[in-house]
Amino acid sequence: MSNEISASLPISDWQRDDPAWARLVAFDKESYLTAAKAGKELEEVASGIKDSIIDPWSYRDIEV
Amino acid sequence: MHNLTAIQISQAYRRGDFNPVELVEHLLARIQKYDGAYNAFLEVAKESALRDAQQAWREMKAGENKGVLHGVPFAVKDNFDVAGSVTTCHSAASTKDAAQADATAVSRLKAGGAVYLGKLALHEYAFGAPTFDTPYPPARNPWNREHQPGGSSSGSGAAVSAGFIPLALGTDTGGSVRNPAACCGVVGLKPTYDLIPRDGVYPLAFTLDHVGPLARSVDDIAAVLDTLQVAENGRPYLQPAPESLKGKRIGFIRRFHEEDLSAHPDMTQALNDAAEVFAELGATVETVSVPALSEFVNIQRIIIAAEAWAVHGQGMTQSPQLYSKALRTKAMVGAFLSATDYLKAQQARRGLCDSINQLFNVYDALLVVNSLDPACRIDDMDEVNRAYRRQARVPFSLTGHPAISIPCGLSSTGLPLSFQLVSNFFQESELFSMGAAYQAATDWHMKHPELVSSIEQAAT
Repeated sequence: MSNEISASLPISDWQRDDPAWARLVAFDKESYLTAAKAGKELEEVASGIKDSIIDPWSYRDIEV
Repeated sequence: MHNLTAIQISQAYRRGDFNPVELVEHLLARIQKYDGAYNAFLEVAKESALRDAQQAWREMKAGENKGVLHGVPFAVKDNFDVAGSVTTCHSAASTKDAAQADATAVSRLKAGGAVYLGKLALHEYAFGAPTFDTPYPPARNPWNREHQPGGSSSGSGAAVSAGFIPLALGTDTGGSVRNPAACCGVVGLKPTYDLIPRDGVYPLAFTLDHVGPLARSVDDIAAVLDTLQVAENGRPYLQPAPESLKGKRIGFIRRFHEEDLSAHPDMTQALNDAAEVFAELGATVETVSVPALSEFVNIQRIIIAAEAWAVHGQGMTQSPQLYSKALRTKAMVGAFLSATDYLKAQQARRGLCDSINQLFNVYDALLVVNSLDPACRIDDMDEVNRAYRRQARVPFSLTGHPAISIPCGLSSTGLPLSFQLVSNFFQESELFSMGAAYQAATDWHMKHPELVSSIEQAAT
C-alpha cells in the first residue's frame, strides 16, 4: 500500500502490515478510498456518542 | 390463477377449481415465458416441485389437510439452505458445495405442505446492490423492468409481484424484505428479531438479521407465520379482519418524511390517504415524536459495517476479485472501525430502542413511511445509492420491532407506493389485524403489473 494513500486515512497497524489487505487495496483502490471515507465518518459518529452511555460505574444503578 | 393469494389458492383447492399439480405447471410455464426479462429466479426446482405437488394432491384426495399452505408453492432468497442445492448468495465467492439440510424456515414450510419451487435472486450476500458484475444478472421490477425491484431480497419481491409465486422468504437486515415489497407492490414482514429461526440462512450482520416472508396479502403473511409455528401463545396469527379499528391508537411518525427527509409528493399523498383510511376505520391517528432518522441510520451503519466485515473480511482480502465492486465498497467500511466504535454503537442502540418502546405505552401501532420515493432506475448506480439512503426501514431493523410493508398506491409513473406499520415486540398479530382491515377497505394489493415476455425483451 502506498504511503500516499495510507497517510491521510485511519489505517490500523494490522492493515499497514497485512499483505492480504495490501493486495485488496491494490486490486480496487477506488472502493478502498470510498470505504475509508465512510469508515472515517462512522468513526466520528462513534466518537460523538456520549461516554456516559458506557459509564462503567452504571452497574451501581442496576436494581437487583 | 397466478395472481391469487395463498389463501385464495387454498380455497380454490378445497372447491376443486384446480389442484396443486395444475397450479405448479401453470407457474412453471409462466416463469419460463417471462422470467428471462425479470431474472427473479436463480434456480427453478421443476422436478421436485412437480413431485411435491403430486404428493400434496394425493394427500388432499385422501382427506389429509396439512394446513392453509398445503399444496401452495413458495420460493426462497438464495441465502437460505435447501438440501441438495448450492446456496449461491448471488456471488462468485460462495461455496460450490450443496447444502446438506434445509434451513429451519424452509423445512417448516415444507412440513406444512407448502411446495418448494426454487431459489431467488438477491443483492450479493444480501448487502451488495443491483449490479452487473456478479455471476447472475440482477432481478428487475415487474412494474417496469428498467427500474430496480428493491433489495436485497430482490428476486423475492419480483417473483411475488410478477405472479411467479404466491409466497417467498427473504431476509431483512436494514430493510431487505420491506424494500422489495415496497418497490414491487407486495406485502413484506420483518418480524420481531429472532421470531423466525435463522438457522441455515447465510448471515450478514448477526444482531440485525431477520428472516421474513413476502406475499400478496397481509392474511397470507399471517398464514406463513402460523405454518412456521412461531406463535408464542399458540393463538393462530390468521384471524378474520376486524370490521372496525375503533379503540385502536396509531402513532403517525411524520418527521422521517417531512423534516429529516422530504418524501416524493406522491408518497406523501399516499401516506396521508392511508392515515385517513385508518381514521375512517375508527382508529385514532396522532402524530408522534421520535429521534431523528439520522440517529438510527448512523448507529445501524456502524453495526452492520462491523458485523459484515467480520463475515466477509477474510474472504475479501484473500479473493477480492470474487466479489462485486458494490459489495467490496460496502463491506470494507467495517475494516476501519474499532471494537470501541462497535460497542458504543450497540450501547446507543439501546437508547433508540427505548425511544420506540415508550410509544407503545400509548399506541397499538405506528404508521411510518417506507421508501420515500418510487423505485428508481436500475442502471443508474448514483440513483440506486441515493434510494438506499431515502428510506425509514432502518430504525426498526435496529430496534428489532416488527414492521410490515403494505402497498398503498401507485405513483404518477405507475410504480408502487407503500407504508410501514410497526408494533411492539411479538405483537405481529396487531399488525395483521390492522393490515387486514386496511386491505379489506382498499384494493392496492390486488393490482398487478403487465409483464413483458422473455422473447419480447430479447427482441428490444
